Amino acid sequence: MDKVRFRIDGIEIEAPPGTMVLEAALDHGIFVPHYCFHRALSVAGNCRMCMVEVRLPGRDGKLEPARKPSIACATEVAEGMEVLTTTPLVTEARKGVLEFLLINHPLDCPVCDQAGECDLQDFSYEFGEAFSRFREDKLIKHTKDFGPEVRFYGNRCINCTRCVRFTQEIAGSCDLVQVQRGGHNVIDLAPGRVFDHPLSGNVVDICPVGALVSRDMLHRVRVWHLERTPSICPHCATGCNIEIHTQDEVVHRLKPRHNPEVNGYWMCDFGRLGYKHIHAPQRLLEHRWQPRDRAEGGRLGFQSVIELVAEAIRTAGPEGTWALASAWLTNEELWLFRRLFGTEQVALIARPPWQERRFYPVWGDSERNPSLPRQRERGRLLEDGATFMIAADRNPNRTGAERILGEQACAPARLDAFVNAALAGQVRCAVVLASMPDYLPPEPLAQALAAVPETVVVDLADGPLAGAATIVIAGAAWAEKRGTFTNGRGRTQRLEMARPTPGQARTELEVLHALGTQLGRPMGPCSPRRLFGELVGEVAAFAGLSWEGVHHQAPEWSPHMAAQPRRLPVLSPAALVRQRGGGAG
Amino acid sequence: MPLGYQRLVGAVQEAYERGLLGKGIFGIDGFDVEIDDPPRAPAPTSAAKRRGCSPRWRAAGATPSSSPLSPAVSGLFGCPTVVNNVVTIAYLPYIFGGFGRGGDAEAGIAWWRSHGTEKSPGLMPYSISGHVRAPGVYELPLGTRLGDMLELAGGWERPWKAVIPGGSSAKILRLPESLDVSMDFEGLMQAGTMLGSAGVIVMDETVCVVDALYNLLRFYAHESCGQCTPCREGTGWAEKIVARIEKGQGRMEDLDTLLGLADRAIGKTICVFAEAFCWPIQSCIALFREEFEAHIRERRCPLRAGPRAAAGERAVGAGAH
Ligand code: SF4
Ligand code: SF4
Ligand code: FES
Repeated sequence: MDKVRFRIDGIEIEAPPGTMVLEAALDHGIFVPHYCFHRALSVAGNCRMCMVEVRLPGRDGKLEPARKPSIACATEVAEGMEVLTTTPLVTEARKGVLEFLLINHPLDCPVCDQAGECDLQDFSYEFGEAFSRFREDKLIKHTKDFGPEVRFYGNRCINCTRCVRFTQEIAGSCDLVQVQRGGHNVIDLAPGRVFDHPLSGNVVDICPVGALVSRDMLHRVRVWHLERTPSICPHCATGCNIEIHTQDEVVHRLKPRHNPEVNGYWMCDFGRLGYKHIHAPQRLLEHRWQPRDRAEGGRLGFQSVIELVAEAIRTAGPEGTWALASAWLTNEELWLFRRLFGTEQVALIARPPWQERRFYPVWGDSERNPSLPRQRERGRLLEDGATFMIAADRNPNRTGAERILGEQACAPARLDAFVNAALAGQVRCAVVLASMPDYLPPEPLAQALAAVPETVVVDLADGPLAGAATIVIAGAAWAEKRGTFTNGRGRTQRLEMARPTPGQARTELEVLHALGTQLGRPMGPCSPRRLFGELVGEVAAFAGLSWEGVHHQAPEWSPHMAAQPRRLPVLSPAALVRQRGGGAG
Repeated sequence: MPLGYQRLVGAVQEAYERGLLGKGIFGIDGFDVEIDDPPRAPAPTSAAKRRGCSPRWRAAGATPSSSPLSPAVSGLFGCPTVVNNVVTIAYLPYIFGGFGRGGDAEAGIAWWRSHGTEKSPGLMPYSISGHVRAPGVYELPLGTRLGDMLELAGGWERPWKAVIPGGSSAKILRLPESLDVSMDFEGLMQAGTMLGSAGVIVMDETVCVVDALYNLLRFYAHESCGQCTPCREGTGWAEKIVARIEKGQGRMEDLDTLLGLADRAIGKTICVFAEAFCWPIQSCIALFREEFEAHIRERRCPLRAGPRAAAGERAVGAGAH
């Protein structure tokens, strides 16, 4: 396709026809402030924040200065166009819009969860004025809980309609609407609805201000204290790219990280709230020995517990030892697991599937609108036009396990074989690396584990699995590991450690490494990165991948979507005074 | 039910009866046009603007569309769509169809040209309201002198003070100074205002311009669809300031604020609603500044105590168009 050539602030840019000026600018690192525009949604053009000066060549080929500014989000690039983002026309237009936005906006920042990552704060600071001419009473709008995850503060809303468009064009539920008109415009639930949609939490992310906030994190932290760690959501085989936000090693929220090929800008609410098990009161914090005869037992240090396990394995002999891995282990852990236990007397445990869910946009009558194909493409994620998918498989790394341990080892038949062998008394020692939250072993498996004389369980929390064990080792949650998962579509993605393991708990990598060493196997250094290198060399399905390559770096374009918050120029106090003095005050 | 609504429903009914609406109209198979009962739900005025109509049809909410394409290129269902005033469409058969002239189109055009001025030929239904003895709709040639028009509408017992010549968003003119303007597109443009919807609102000396502006701004604050920031916030803000001035609680800097917010709204919204509510502000302050200042200085509406009390009636404020 032919490219259109034009200039933004003097920088020569080429873009395909149909590109909007705003997208082209953001793609080339020129920041134009904007509220209503979102890359995955249709263009609304209502906030008027993105105004720029557009000069087009006249008949004589000379550029004419514009009489009024244009909105960058709804202006298509054109050959020879000159876009200016810092002329007096533009800066004055921005000041105007911000003044209007703030007249009815409450001074809520001290109690508002968005403060610190609020586009209204940021843009007011960077592009607005330090004073207001507004002397009247402010309008009051409703505050309500739209659903289990989302609370709405009407007074803070700037009516950008991102949330409304999200429920139409991504979630396809049309739960939110804009009611009233003029200054009384306000977002509300569509009649008779509750916003309990599985994607509801995303409106909190896309709301540029603190109007839609998370009920889960309400008033819990100030966002500037949060540390952000890139990771992968483990709750289904989609493998949404996420950020884990922690303060002092406590996980406070999960946010989606943009990846156009996996999750777009979104994640589902199950995944979003799926960090609670990390801090659950039942979390295992120490290792223990609980022999079946209850004669002795009790707490153990890590070294002692590893010695005990090694002893049990040695006593049982290769014939009598089985090992079970869960589909929540990282590829690196599975690789070490295979080096230690092979692929014969091993099986896979996993959480049972749920209903797969796909979401489609609702365009209604506008189906035949010619500008629609492009808008459709914006939100589209899957081949069939779906905007998001929650996979049926509720485990993050079944594909990785199948690739490393082999399909047979991961088939249900293999687990049945273990159960039968255990119930027939042929298994002397079983090692289970679970570390799966909310896992209930099926009845036959629980019986089989209870029938084995020495059952070692590495898990996160006390429960039926740990109850069936003779040796319990406190394992690590996914947020406490480095490594890679391979999602249901065969994409290998990296997760980073967001917090250390609590108490005595150890990662499965540490457990396997210590155990191998204790058993006298040559283990070598076992960093996740090194193990990944081995995997690439030895398992065909991983050939060609690199540790750096499996980390998707989200392109930085909006404060909420980037791995790092956008850096704002710091105004000196002198500049602030100058700014204040400059106006009528 | 309002008369206008009854007539609209009646006209739709009549069109069905004559086979102009319904299935296979004009005997063409598959040419179906249906009109539901006209909506009674109050859509904001801004939705009636050219850009507002097509999204309204798409049931996408009654708000003007920011699509860079004009409806004539891509409107209803993405097809080219003609959106015009009823007046324009109603005159078409007479001008180009030779309606009433035995189908002679040339005669129709000649007849049309025989009225009005060189640049603005033809007729225009002027809706004259306010301080005249016989308010109503007058179909007159374009270019009629304002003074003649007002005499035709019966004149008035007290001196006139101001006129809004083209619907509520047109800039206000002072009377009697402007009695000689020619009521056509060019004449009014020259006078610094516009013909607009040809709704002529006449005010006599008992009318308080601040009160009239407040009345207009109340209308605009109510009618903004509320999607664009400058219009959504600006309409309400301006209304509150002018209400305060009228109540005698104004400050001198309020006038600068009003003019400043108008500058910041004009040309920065999707439809021309920002212009519509700002032009009255700008023109009222420009032409009647002393009246605003008197309100602020005296901390009350000087007219309520003065001429209006003398006239013994509540002034007819500018009717909203
Ligand atoms: S929405 Fe933003 S500007 Fe408004 S109160 Fe919250 S933090 Fe402050
Ligand atoms: S709630 Fe947030 S996203 Fe929705 S319209 Fe208001 S500001 Fe925009
Ligand atoms: S981002 Fe362009 S008008 Fe809102």
